[in-house]
Amino acid sequence: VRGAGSGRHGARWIVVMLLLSVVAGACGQSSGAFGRVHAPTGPATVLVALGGDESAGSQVSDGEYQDWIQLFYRGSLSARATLYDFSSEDGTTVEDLLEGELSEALAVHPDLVTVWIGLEDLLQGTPAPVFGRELSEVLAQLKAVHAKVLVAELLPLNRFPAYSKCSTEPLKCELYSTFSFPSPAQMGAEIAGYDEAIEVAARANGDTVVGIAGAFTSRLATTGSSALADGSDLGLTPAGESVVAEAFAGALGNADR
Amino acid sequence: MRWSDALLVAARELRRRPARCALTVAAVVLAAALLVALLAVVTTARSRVLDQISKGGPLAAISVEPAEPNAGQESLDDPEPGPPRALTGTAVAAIGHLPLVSSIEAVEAAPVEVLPPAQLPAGSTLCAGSGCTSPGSYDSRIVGADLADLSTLPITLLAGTTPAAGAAEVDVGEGYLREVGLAQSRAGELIGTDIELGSERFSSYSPSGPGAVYRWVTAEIVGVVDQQVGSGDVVGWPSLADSTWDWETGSAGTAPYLAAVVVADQLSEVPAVRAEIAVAGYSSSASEGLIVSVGRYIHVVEIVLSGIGIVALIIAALGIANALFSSVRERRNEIGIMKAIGARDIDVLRIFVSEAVAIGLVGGLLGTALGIAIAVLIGDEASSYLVAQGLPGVVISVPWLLLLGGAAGSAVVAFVAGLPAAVRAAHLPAREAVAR
Repeated sequence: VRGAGSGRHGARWIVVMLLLSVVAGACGQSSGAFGRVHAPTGPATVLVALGGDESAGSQVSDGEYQDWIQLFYRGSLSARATLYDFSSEDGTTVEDLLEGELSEALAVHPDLVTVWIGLEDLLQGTPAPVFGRELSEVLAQLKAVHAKVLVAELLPLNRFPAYSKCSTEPLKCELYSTFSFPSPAQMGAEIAGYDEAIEVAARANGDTVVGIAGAFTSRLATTGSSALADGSDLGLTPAGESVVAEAFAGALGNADR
Repeated sequence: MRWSDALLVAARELRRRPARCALTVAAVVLAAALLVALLAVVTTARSRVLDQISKGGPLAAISVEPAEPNAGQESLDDPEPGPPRALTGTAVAAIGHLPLVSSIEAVEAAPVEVLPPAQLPAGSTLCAGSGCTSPGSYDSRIVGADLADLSTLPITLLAGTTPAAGAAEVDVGEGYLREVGLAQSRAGELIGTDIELGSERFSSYSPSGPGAVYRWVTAEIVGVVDQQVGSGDVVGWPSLADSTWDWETGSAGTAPYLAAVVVADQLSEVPAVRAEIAVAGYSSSASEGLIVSVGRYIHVVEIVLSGIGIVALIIAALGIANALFSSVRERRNEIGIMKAIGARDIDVLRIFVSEAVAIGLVGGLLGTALGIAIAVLIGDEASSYLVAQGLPGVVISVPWLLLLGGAAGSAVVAFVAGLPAAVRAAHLPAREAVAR
């Protein structure tokens, strides 16, 4: 009798507990809270990109995702970095940098600066020593604010399909330009002269050179020029932009070592 | 006879007639369940509807626009603003000191180019087959406000949380969901993804005329909101809007105020505060007219639904009364014998009242639990429907008062219903009872 009685007692308790759990569950749903505590983030890198759009990309169709500078910013720096992109203007020479762009760039207190300029100077016929001297002035001012500087060589335009076409078959040239295209070999020599001037200026200021020529040479051997450069103008394809971004990333790694 | 003895006798009597007892309790259960379920649903509906109107902000919120008041439209909830007038820090402070104003929150805004990540969640409508189409950048605005206490702003958090002060975090609005091709029900998939925010400054250094210099920052999306603070897809702390504004204008200061959200002490004081704001020279809008109207309609629904529940309770009460009168009739001899051996009228009354209250209490408790279960089921069904329609789900909330009222109210109704039968039993003469 006692066993049966305690069994009924237990069943009553189960019913009571079930009722209480239903009631408590329903009331629990009426409350809600949000918000969480975050650790403060540390100082973020300020990246400044200097140059003109002929040498600094931004000709790809999906620019915000495929420009080399965006790829570099996203892939090589912390998510908390800020990018100041001064490289979207066409026709910028190193003299333009000295006269205006540079002072604005210095005003944002950069930690890291990419300098990719020279193509417009070359097309305008500025002698390599003059270009090198002006570039050295730019780098000296950047050195004065203790920014880490990556200086890039020129694109090997003479190896691009559009250049070859304009140089050898002017009637088929699709480029709207007053520039008279010298032969690819002659252009290659001029680019090499500029690259040398860039190297001298960078070395004088303790900066890191981004080996664009080497990066393209090794990639062109495997993919062919049409994969990296546009067939009708001197712009880069997304794959070409990616090669540039990788070259800058490699140079940043070297500079950090 | 003590109350405990009366309760024991009552319990024994109820066990002697289990079928009648079960049916009477079942009637009370159903009535209590109906009343609790209806009131739980209507209470949730009231808070949800008002929350939707006020976008999660306080009901007594007033939005002050950077414009002069439009004469003749001050009484409207959402008047056409007059000529533009800058909303300055001084003006915001002055409005904050007006009588009947509980708080004021200035809201900043700065134009921004929004760049979603190239890789989108698989559920995006921009993804089909093997890959996704990049959404690309688009022009919008950063809305900057003090997000420490969302309850003071007309902002509803749909997913995630609010950005932490000083951190590179933002919330995004429904416009961003559209841009990346996500339904509101999948808003949670954006949490933890990065967003790039671009701002543009025109500079004169370019050899080919004024040129743009872009500043890009990356922020983590920590929440998705439905907000009525101001037009803009990105919501963050004022510092984010300020830094964007500073770059675009080349100045160092505060981004312009898009609006100020004023909270009146009470909903009924909103018209008076709005009149003061108009005197201060600014246009304002508030949903107080709509809230009051909707509140009235919901109150009518509450009355109707409560009436249905109360009718059910009255029917249950009649059942209790009928059961107890039958019991009195059947137990005349027993009552007579009890009185013959010394039981007082009050002792007999206690026994029958205890029976009635026990039926009411047990029925009330079971009915309340059943009512909550029904309300939760209805809530789940409604929530599934709302989510399928791309709207936030709903969670049924059951106030403690309703729980207590369901159980205690049923016991009180049962007491009242059983009292006439109990009085009749108590006043039954012992002689007459035994004679039958």
